Amino acid sequence: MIAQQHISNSFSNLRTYLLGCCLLLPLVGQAQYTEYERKAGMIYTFGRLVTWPEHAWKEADHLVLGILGDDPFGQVIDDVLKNRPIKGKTWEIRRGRAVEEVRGAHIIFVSNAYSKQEVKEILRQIYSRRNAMVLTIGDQIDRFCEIGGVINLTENLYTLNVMAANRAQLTINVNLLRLASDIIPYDPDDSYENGY
Amino acid sequence: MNLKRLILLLLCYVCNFWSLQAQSLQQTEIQQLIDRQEYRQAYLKLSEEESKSIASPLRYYWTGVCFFHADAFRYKAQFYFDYCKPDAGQLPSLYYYYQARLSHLKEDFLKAINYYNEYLEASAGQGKIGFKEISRQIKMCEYGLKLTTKKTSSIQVSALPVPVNSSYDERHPVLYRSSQEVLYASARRKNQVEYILDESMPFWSDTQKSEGSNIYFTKRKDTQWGYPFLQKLMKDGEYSYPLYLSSDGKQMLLYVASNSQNKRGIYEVFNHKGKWGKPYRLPEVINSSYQEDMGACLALNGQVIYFASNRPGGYGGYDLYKAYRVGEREWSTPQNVGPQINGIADETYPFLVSDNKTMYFSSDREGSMGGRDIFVIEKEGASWGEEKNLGFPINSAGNDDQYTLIRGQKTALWASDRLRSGHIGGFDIYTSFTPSKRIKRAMVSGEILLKKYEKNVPVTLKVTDNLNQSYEHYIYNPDIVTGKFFMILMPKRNYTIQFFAEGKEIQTTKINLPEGLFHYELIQHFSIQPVDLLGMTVGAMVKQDSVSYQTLMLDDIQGKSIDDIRYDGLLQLMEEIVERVDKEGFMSLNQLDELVIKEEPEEEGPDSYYTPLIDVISQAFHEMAPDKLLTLHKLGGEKQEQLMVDHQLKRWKYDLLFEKGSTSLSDSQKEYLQQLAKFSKEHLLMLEFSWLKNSKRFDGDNRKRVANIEAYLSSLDLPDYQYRAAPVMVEGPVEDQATVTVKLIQIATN
Repeated sequence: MIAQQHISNSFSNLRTYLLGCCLLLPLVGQAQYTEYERKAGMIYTFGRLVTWPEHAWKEADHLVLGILGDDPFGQVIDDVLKNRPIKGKTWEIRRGRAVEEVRGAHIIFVSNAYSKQEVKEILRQIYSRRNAMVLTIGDQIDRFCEIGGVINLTENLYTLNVMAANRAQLTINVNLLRLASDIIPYDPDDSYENGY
Repeated sequence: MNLKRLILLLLCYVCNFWSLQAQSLQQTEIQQLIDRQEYRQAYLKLSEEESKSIASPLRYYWTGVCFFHADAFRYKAQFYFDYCKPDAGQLPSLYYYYQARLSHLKEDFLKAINYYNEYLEASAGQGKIGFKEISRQIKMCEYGLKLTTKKTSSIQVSALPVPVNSSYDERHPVLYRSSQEVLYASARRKNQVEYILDESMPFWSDTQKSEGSNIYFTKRKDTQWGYPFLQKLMKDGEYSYPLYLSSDGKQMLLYVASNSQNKRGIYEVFNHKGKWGKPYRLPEVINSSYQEDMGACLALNGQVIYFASNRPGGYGGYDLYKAYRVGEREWSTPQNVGPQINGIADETYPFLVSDNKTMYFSSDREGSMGGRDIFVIEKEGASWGEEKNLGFPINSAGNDDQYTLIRGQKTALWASDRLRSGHIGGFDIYTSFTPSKRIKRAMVSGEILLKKYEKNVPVTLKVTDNLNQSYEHYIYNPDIVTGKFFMILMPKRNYTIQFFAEGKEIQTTKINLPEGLFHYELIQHFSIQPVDLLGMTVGAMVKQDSVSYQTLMLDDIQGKSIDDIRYDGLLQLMEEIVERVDKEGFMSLNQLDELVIKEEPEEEGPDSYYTPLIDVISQAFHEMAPDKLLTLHKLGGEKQEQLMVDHQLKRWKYDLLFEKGSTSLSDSQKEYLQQLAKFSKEHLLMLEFSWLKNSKRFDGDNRKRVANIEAYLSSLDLPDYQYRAAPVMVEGPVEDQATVTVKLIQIATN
């Protein structure tokens, strides 16, 4: 007997909404996850929703996460990412205080210990290289996306700079756009910041 | 007259006397040949005209005895034994023994038991074969009766064809690299083209008979076994046979047969870059002054050797021993593996599977159905469990030796001198095909065709499972002409198949392969259609023209007579494709084996504490968290088709021309902007409006024009991040060109 098999690409809106609510219940009820556990989970999800160009994996066996500055996660980020590969790539975490120490990372998490000028310099160093296919994530850094960072974690959710992502050759999944609390459509090279 | 009669009578008497004398001489001569076990000479004598005068029961009995010991056509003895059955009382009591042995070998166990008993009766316990041995054989027949009633019908056993097997002895198979390639020993003479005896002559001549065995290599291609090639490991005149080959094919144990005690024994040899080095003899702790010619194998990357030896101190006959490598060529003192395996019978031909806990060995112990049977025993902690006879049809009433297999594969090889239908002569190499239904593999095939301007475009597939593991082996991309693709995956998992064309992902399909899946068929046809915007080609759109899926479960076809054939055929097909297409050789095959045999991934899983968190976040991204739902922008519908971004999109630009001095939008410009806004929403694009501007910030009225454009787009509900103003800085004076250029930038994908 030949049976028909359905391939589902998406849930119906209602079913998904209900499922989403059901899944949220334990979190709301228990509220056991700390701020940086949630942020670690977000970083993992960003990794899933961003696609790097093929040549970003030429010399990389792992998906490398660099943590710049004071590490606010501790062991949490290692535990969250351990054995959760993305597209067959397992995670590697590098920690450092200078961009050079996390060179080669696909995602750089910038802690909020830096001044605005320092963050500007960090972003400049990261993106000064050609083919810097780096997803930069700021940890609640003031105007992080406006000065060229790709994602800035905020109190609400996160801000996303689509032009910075585009410049870094990253393909953003539409779901990442949908959930962003603010989307910045320019990068710091534009004169927009200075007004026109 | 009387004298004449007398002379005539005398002549008759003399003739008769001479005749009887000659008959008696002939009879004696044949008897002596048979006693000396020179059966070929005896057979030739019996074929002579003079022998025809020998009383037929005895002549037929002897002919039967000769066939019983022949190089081939042993089964023909039955005809001669049965012919003289009515006169059995006039024949030696051994007649019953031969009848019993032949029936036993032919696995007619009840008949064999009767003949064994008749032999005991006829010989009154004083025969050449003692009561103890006959009792042992009867017991084997009783086991044979039990084992054949419990036969596993789905196991298929067959002898490898000629010229791999021949009328000579073929023994000692070892699997080389995969179950497709085999090293084995054949007793055929070098450079001899005749391997098969003619039915009229069941013995090799003196110039043809075997001198010793040499090692040959053969390979299976599709379903055909190739011509065996002699492996030159030893000098001319030295004979050897393989005992063990490491899974990478680089390390072999072989036995060198020699009359010299210093030369014979187990040797080790290494293969370097496809060439075998010089074999060296294992030290005397292994090769004792007794016999170590009945098998050996290595375990734990060659650090442990198991071998059979009849050295004193064992439990009887050949026992299995174990020793550790303590230097490159040094071994520890062997230890008997103990009474859980060894007993008073012979235990020979050990083969430890690469899991290091399953051992096969051959033994004529109690529990065998005749000769040596193959037993399997598994380690239970530090000790060995209870051995199990592999049973019918793998074992036979003959000798079944040197069972070998590659872990996880369904083909096993061994040597047997069974008399079952299909045997070729003496010992032959046999292969078994284990029940395929137990092998957890599923085939996914079908048709993926992508057309661009009516021409087929090559499509590549990328497969990942629900554990995010990518699959590269046994994924065969669609043929550009027919679109046929093929992949071998493990059931009980969900897979994501991504289709790529022209360097871009064009479609993602998720399939679920449930347990017991037989075949998943997926047929999808796409076409790439150019997408125009305001009269210019922006890129191309992939449209799904048709899609259909069918699954066939194993349960759906079980119970039908064709199930095994079809499933076995499927697996055979998989094997052939794997062999033909996979150019990466041995290692990739091993990877498949690992995937096949692994029930569940053995590696440590993710920290389950964080799984609910990850699930919640993923779900929130999938359908937005409820508290953020109302504040977020919605981008199009669920099923947006993806625009294949290419150079055309990057090159696309459109000039909005204004009248000098005018900043308001004309109706036609509004119409263009409506089209642009709609297109951008559908394809997640950003509209970039640029104009020239100098350092004095003079740009005519263009900034005002762009502000009007932005206001109009906003009124069309285009999210603000999907359009932007991007003035282009230039040196020197800028005239009011009254032109705003629109460009498209892709900002996200579905």
